[in-house]
Amino acid sequence: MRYTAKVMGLDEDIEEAVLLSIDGIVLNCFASVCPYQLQIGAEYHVQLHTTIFNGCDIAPVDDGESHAAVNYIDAFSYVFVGLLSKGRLIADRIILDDAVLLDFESFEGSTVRFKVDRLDVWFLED
Amino acid sequence: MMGYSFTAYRWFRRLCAVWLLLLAPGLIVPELVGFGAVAEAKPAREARPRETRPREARQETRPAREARRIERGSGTRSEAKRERLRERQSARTETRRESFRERGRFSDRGFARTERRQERQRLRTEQRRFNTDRSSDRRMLTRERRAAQPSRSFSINRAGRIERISNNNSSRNKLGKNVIRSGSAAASRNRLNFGNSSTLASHFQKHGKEFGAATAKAYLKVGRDIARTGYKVRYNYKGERRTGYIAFMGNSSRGEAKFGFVGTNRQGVITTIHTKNGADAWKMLNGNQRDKNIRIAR
Repeated sequence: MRYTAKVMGLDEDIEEAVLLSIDGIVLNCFASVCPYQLQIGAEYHVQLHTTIFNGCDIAPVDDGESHAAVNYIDAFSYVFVGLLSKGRLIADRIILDDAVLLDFESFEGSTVRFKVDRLDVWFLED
Repeated sequence: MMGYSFTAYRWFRRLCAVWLLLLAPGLIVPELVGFGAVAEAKPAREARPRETRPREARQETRPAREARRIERGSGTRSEAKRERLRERQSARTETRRESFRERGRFSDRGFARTERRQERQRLRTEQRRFNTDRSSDRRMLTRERRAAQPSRSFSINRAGRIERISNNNSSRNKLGKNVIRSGSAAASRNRLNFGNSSTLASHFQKHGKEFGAATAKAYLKVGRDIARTGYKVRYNYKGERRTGYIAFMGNSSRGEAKFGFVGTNRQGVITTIHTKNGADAWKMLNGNQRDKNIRIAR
């Protein structure tokens, strides 16, 4: 999914760490593809990608939990909670269209909790 | 049988009697039978007078001993004997040679063969000596040549191609000053490090679990291993053309290719060590996630 993101901050130690604001949601992302110099406050076209290290952690949520949320865990790790529809996870204003979601057709139409080990961002060249 | 034994016995008795008659007086009076020299009791050896000289004086040196021997005459005698032996031996050798020569062709051939063998041996020795000198010269020459020329490091990459790591032995450090580097490419890759310990610590905190590294040191070692065994690549990052190292680690649980990646900056300092999936790697290296080629940097 293609977004327009505003660079909120850059990490001094970790060059790839970027704080982005996408439709008002602030995400700490890992800039794995970034062919040009970034400026704080500037807006760029980006794509979000998920990286999972040890097995996919996806499960339907209980009724009691809040729906459609992006919860930060640590580093670049997030938990997305949202509706799974046609291989897409709609979590608040963020839509993830990872190929792995196609494997969970059984959860189609239900709210799921999807843990991402690293949220990657690709800065696109127009 | 009995008669024969008895006769023998009688003769034996007679012989014994004769022997007793002849020898018994000799045993009692040895002079009678000529055993005087044997039976004569040796006169008791006189006790040598006790040496009164000091121990140092008694321990005569070898030259002194030699001198005493010569003075006594025994040394000169042995020398003369030895000389005579030598002369006799050389005369015998000469005679033998003469006889060989006189015998004609066969002996000549034998001598010729011996001479040829000796000549071959001499040549071999000379050749060996020459080779040794030449190799040491060559070594010296190579050392001098290497010292004179700028160092070039080559290595064979995993694709079996020879790649040149660097064509000069200088680089710039963080302060922009020239720093002379030495050693092979592999050694320099083993020395790769982050800019400082805090950078390493923060990177380890965020990426350590990607490699299952328990400590920052183990995390850095993984990075160095990737740099040592992986492909050297060039990539664009934040407006710079950078050098990185990429190594295939296997497939993820989702069946995607998984790579270990080490990024460096212009100063040759590690900027990141992390894993990449295939799409990530192709996009970063080639700008297109469908272009699945790794172009090895030279």
